[in-house]
Amino acid sequence: MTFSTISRHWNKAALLTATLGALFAGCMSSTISAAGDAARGEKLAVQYGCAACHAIPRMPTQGMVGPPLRGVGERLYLAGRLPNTPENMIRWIRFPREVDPGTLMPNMDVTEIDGRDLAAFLYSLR
Amino acid sequence: MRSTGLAVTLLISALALMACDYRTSPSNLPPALSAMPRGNPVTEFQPGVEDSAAQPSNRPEETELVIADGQRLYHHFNCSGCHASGGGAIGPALMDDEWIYGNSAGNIFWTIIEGRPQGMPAFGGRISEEQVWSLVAYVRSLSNLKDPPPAVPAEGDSVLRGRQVFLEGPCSLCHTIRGTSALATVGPDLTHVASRKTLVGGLPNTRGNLAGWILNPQNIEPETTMPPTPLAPQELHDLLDYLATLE
Repeated sequence: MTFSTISRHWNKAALLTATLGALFAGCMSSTISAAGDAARGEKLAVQYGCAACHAIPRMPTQGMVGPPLRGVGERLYLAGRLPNTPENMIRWIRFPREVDPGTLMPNMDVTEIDGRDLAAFLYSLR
Repeated sequence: MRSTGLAVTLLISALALMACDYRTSPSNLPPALSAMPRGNPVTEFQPGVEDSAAQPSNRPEETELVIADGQRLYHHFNCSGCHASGGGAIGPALMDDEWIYGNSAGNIFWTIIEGRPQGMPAFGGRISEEQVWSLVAYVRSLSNLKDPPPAVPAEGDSVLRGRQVFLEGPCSLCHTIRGTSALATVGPDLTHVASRKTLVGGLPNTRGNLAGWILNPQNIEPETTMPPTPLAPQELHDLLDYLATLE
């Protein structure tokens, strides 16, 4: 029994919850959510250093280099060009310089699962 | 017969090893110097291939500034008393292509530190290593011995470009990276920055945190004296690649 096994199960559970949640809540709110572990994503945001450049609620630092991320789930576009979908959010988090070669945001070698959890966290910021 | 030959070979090897031992035994050099790999043996033989282990690693770049400093020290320490202005007199000429103890920077460094028989004094412990390196650069410049110019960073070699951003940008005004021309002591020494676990305030030392710190440190530590550094995106990415190599 390893951490990754637990986290795989956890993610399945999270995926199910998110899907059901989306089914029931879809008509009530237009805010997007991603199938990931938002609580884990919050810790990852400190680790990867998102908050060193972005203002993010509850983070130890409030960066002013990039745009603030409160309410990012309600925006229409990401990075000024990508429609705001969970897939695009994960893509932007993981490969910013592939999306926009001129961006200041560095590629931080974010793994796929970390990208999903970070996206879930960002979409939870109202 | 064969065993006699073997025995002789072994004896010679053992003697050679002992000689080697003798040469590397602790001397009156300062600790930093005695810990380093030692230079050429004191023989009259010309060196063959250069022993790269004998090249100390703290050698600075041979810039014009370093050479000019070496010229000043050359006269200050009265090297000219024996070597004249390089043409030689009591001591050998330094501007021809005959080098008894080798002409690589490492060879000359050790010749100055250790001294050589028949008159060349040992300067180890008397003058700083930095001064020795300046003298090395000047002496080499007398016979036009110069390192090949640093390679123009190839397109795509972000580490080299990042190094350039560091050395030619504002970073080098405050920070040291040993082995480069960045020697300022206002901010912390970054020679091993990639081996640090955390940055200021206990933030994990990751690419994202480092980027944010470099671009706008006041967001992270309002009291810090490090100024914001408005880098262009490509400069930032190259610099991060370079800093990641400093383990």
